[in-house]
Amino acid sequence: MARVGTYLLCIGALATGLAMAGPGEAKRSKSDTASAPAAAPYAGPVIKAYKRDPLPIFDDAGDVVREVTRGALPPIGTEGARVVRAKPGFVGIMLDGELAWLRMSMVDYVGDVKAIKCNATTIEYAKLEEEGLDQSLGLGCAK
Amino acid sequence: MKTGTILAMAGAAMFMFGTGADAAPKKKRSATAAPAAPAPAPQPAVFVPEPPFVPLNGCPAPGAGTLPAAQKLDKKAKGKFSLTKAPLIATLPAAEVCANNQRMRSGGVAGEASLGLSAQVMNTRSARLDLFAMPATELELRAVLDRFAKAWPYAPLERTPKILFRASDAYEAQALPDNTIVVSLGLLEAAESDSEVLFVLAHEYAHLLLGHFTKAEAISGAKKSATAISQVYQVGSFANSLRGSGSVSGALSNAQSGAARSGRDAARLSEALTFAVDDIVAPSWNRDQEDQADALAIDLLIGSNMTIDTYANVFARLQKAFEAEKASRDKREALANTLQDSLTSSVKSMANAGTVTSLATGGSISALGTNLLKGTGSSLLNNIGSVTKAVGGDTHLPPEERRKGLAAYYQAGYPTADPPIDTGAMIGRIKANPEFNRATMLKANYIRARQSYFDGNYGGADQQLRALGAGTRQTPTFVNYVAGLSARDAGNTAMAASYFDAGRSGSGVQNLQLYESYAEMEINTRDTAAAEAVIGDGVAKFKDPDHFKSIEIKRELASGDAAGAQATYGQCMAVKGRDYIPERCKAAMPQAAQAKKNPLGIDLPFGN
Repeated sequence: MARVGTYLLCIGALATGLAMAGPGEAKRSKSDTASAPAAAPYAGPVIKAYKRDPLPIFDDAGDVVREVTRGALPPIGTEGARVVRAKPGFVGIMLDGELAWLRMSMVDYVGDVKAIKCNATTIEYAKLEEEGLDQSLGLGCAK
Repeated sequence: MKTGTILAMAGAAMFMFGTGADAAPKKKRSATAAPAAPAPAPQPAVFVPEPPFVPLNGCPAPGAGTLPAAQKLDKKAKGKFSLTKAPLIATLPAAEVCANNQRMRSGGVAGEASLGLSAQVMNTRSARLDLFAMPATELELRAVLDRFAKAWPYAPLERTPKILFRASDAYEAQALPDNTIVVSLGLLEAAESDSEVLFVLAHEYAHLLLGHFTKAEAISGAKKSATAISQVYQVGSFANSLRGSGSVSGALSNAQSGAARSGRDAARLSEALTFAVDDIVAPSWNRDQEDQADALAIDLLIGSNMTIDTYANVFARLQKAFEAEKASRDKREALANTLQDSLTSSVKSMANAGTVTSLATGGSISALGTNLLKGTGSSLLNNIGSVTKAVGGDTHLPPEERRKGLAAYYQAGYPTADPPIDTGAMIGRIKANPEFNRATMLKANYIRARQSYFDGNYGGADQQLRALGAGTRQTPTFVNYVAGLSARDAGNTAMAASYFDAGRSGSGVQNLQLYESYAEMEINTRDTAAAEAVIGDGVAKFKDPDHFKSIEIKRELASGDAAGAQATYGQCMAVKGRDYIPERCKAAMPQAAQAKKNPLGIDLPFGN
């Protein structure tokens, strides 16, 4: 794929950058994508979990076109489960040579999340605080 | 630094506290006190009303058929995730939820101590954090919590949680037992989608709904760490005592100068550790509680029709940090060893018998007595290793395992759910609000200033902190606190007192550590009346006299009231359920601790 690096995007960043639609407008944004330009090619990390069996496959308009059983899907974590496209609410993988859109709520997928920004002080204290930070969500800094 | 920059920084510091820059009352000492920061431009105030009280009427429970039937999780897919059925919200025993709710409403675990667990946690954790308000962001997120509340069919929290923000780059959030949720600014900065922030909020809210603070395991972590905490405070107190004497004697020998320098180094390191103690002393969740909070977070999000699209990003970010931490374990150990070496070297220097005797007889610390210094120094030399070694340890499921388990949980519990698409609208609004930019600037400048302080660049720290409003009541308390520490360590106790006073009379989130440091400073400068006033104010504000017992002992010893100190020591030893308090009292009065071990009163040689 040519100039793949240029198109590396984080799903979250993509979603954030798009129109600030409220929950009620989410469905409309699905159909809007039908006439919108094709989503940018994406070559990021792979699908990490399928959370439906069978898994619905969507078309460009956001409608379910078919369902695929777990056994017929590329194994998670493999090259076949590589996400090649992304748009708000959906990620696309290649299935039988064709682009298949998957609903993000039905898979575990993370984009190229940025490392947490740190400075020297934060790193030092994050390490000192490791036990405490463990207690809830945080683990401090990644560097 | 250019004036414009300073003004901008001051403005950033003030935004959450309205306008006006009335300086705090100055102490009446000779003062090269800090001039107040320039008055910031008026900022539009956002009023955040106090959430209303929600009574508990009876014991609410979900109606039959209102929640999906619980299904078994696939055993292989869930891995080490502790839950076996989903959704959790459909499996909770209503009576137990009610009982926990009532205990939370009454302040925590009955019978653990005279002070409820809620107040204990507040005084040992939140009261030490660098917290500040972001009203517009809080209003945005509070609306989310209100939707979660509607999706919760059991006993409600007594009020919608207040949301405070921490001036930290770390990716973290915490729930506090008084229905406060703390979110670090680093987490908001990292978030690139609504689902990440929503999941984090739901997770912390779930800890509160499930009453995890009332569970016994929540306080086990604090007990384990009591010794380390005690030693951290010994280092700090000991070093501060010597530093106080050094500034008074004025004609130190080379050896004494060396000791004073070591004292400063040790004090700085101990300040670093006391920042770390914020979290060490606080309750820790166990693995099961963490899994439950993850699971209930999904239940709340689905139940309130909110997006879950990219919640896995939270675990991805945590996993990155987790792996980096594992990879840097050697570095962490090296840091711990360096810290230990520095402390050992400092304490050895300070505990040198000749130096201590000389300082004690010629300086202002004679009332503390050489035996106290010797005893403390000896104790530290013997135990310092455990201070640094006690910091650290992985107790929870790795984030990637949590993500896997939660994927299996969602699959089992919500086979037909269709939550909305993540549009990024909420995080977009938060980040587009000028408040957010001001907060990130405040955080960055504060961290820089704090680093200057830890580097011993007191002049630089003072300038940076004044630019953030240090010396005024409107700036966040932690700004005044670090400014006070910096002035204190630069030897300007009048200026330090001015900063501490601004902090304790200010509108920011009160910081208990400020009261401790302030009182200790006054004790070391022999102004025991001022120390008594600070202690009294702290006791009144935090409603926790036991917490101040160790400092009270120091004040009584410094004012020559040995009988009073002994009486307070006795009261302190009777404090139950809060191990760090007697430990700190022993550190404050090692003679008494030693006398108990040696009831015949034989003078034991140095080193016992």
